[in-house]
Amino acid sequence: MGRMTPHEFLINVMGSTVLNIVPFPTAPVAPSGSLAKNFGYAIRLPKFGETVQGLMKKRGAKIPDLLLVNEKEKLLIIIECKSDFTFEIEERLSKQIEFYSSEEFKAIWKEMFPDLSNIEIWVFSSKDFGKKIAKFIGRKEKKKNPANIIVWGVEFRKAREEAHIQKFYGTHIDTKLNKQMESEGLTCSPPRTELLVDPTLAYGERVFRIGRRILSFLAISYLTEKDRIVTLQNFMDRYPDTIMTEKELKRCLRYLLKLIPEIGEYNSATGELVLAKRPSLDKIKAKLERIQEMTEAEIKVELTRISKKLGVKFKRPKVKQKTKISEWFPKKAVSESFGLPFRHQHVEILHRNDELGFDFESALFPNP
Amino acid sequence: MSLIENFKTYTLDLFLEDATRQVTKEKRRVYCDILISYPNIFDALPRIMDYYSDRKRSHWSVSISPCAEEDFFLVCFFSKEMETNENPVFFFWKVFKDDKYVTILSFSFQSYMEIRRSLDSLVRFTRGLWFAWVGSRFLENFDLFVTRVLGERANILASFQTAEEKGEVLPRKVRVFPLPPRKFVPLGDIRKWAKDRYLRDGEIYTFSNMRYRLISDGMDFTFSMTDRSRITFERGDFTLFVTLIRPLLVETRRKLDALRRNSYTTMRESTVLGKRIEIQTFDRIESLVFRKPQETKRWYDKIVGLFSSDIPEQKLINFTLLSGNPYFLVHIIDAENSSSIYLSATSEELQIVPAEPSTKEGTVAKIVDLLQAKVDPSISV
Repeated sequence: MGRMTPHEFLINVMGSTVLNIVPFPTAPVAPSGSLAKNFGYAIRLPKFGETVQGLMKKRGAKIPDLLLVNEKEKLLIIIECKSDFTFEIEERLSKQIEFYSSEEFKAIWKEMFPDLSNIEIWVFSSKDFGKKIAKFIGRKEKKKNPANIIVWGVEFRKAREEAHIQKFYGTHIDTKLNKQMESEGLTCSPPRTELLVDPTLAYGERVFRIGRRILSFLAISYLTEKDRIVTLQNFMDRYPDTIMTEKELKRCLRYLLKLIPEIGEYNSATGELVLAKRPSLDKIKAKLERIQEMTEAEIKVELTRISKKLGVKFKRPKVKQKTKISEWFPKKAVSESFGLPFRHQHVEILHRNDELGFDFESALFPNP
Repeated sequence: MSLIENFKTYTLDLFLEDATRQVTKEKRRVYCDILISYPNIFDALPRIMDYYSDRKRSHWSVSISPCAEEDFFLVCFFSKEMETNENPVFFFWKVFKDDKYVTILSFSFQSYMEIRRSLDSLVRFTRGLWFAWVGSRFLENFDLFVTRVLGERANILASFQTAEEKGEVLPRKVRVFPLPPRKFVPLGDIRKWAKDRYLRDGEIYTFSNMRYRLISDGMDFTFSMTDRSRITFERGDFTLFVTLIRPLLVETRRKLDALRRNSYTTMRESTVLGKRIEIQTFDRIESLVFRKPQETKRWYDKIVGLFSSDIPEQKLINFTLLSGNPYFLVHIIDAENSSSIYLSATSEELQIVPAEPSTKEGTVAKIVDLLQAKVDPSISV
């Protein structure tokens, strides 16, 4: 079915508060982008390179779910969405908060956004989990005083077809927003688009989402062969919310094209993808949806299975060797020789002296 | 001088003069199509035509030659089966350019089958060249458009053939063209009939082509038009017909702006741990919004039903992302036009948002057509 998971849904609800979606042709109909329009928050999609991600990983960091910036208030907002609140998530959240509050991370974001001076961590969840997270953060903050942490919870008002966001914990540095969140909270429309292909997605979902986006390059006819080629840059240009390294994107494409060869061929050397001329769309869709459900381990098992199958399929039949050395030389001579076939009497070339006066015969078989 | 060489000396005025003469004296039909292209595709048309001609499957070799006036061209389709280049299928193209689109007004006099087959084949082959979409609602309300252009005294009658059969929209290629002669009635009557059927039985009628008779100041003419702005002038005052074309071009151009929704991003550079990185942000995303009319019943259910599964005949692959009360979000991929959009709906409104830097006009037109035929007859742009 290809549905959003609760975690992705939360990311997209948050995204819809900062995306400036302008309706046409009528006047605004839904409160989309209220955080952007009324409070000046904007989304930032940093394309970290491999080195940067490697360094961040070494220091125990990962890319936050969303990054917002309020240039007027000189604020950087780190958003972490939590669709559940188990012991593991509690532990992970503690580590995340610890890292985002650290001096190490401060050095990173200060370099990225030199104009900003403050950081805030927003933990975004459903209303029920929001209350639990608020209690947890309250306990944690008594022990230590990290960065300014805010907990938001969302509730869906079905009759009014909108999401209502409330604050459950913390005080915003931005006083205008704080006042709003203390009183009415925020309302936003359900997500109108789908944001992010990034490493926070489960592996199957990541490959599925890239695959889905690759499909939009397919056409029923191509003018030239060149039109069938999709480069990594083409993909990144068309989908600016792809936040992953080139290496990772290449890997996803390699997996995708091996699992669904109907899409086309992948050139791992150049990272280019050559789309199939007449793709079978229903087959592609069915396979894509199957990938979505798979974990990285399952994908790898499937890849191994496919490559084994391919190995058998394309294994060359054994062809009789045309020239065997034992048949070429007279059998008797080979059997009589003492392991050096070129010693045979017909191999004259090895018995002559060459122009340089080198005697192969005496060099190879010195007289005792 | 051969006929083709003679045509190359034409200007638009000269062509229209000749066309008027032929229509009056020889009772010939004039076929007029409005084509849209992107500027870069139009500039590459000679090369595209070479590719097209080189294909084994193509029945024609095509050439485009400038005529005696700027932006006026002669396009010839030479049959590969004929040994000589005699009797080509030819079109006169008047071209109007702006920064976003090239609008091509294509005229032809020859037999219906020949010109439709040849031009259709080229348009199918060329991505980025398409017949301008006006839609069923425009055909149904054509009298309002004519009144705006020719004034209140203009009287327009229409006969129609629906493109639906047993609740299913017929594929474009099986639609009958031109329409068989039928009784002409005021368009208001057709609208009333369609509305009554909709309110009574919930049946939606969409029109893929209509035949009109226009009477103004003692002059009259008959023509038919499809929802892809393919016009056949049948008989009557050709000069009066020509006065309608420019406003029609303006209208098709206006619709293009509505169908093309863009998303704007900006990019700036920064560093992290001494390494250069790019930071992008979405500045603005344009959406196309339709609100639910009061008369429409089961709006939300119909939208969900329509887009929950693929629509293979339209080459649409749909991935449902959210479904349930009160919202629906689907990623629609159009393999015909190489583009994709996000369509979201609640029980009150529907939005179409680009899934890439901009939507392709053909994709949105196709979706609007589907919505008109299956969900709400009043939807249009």
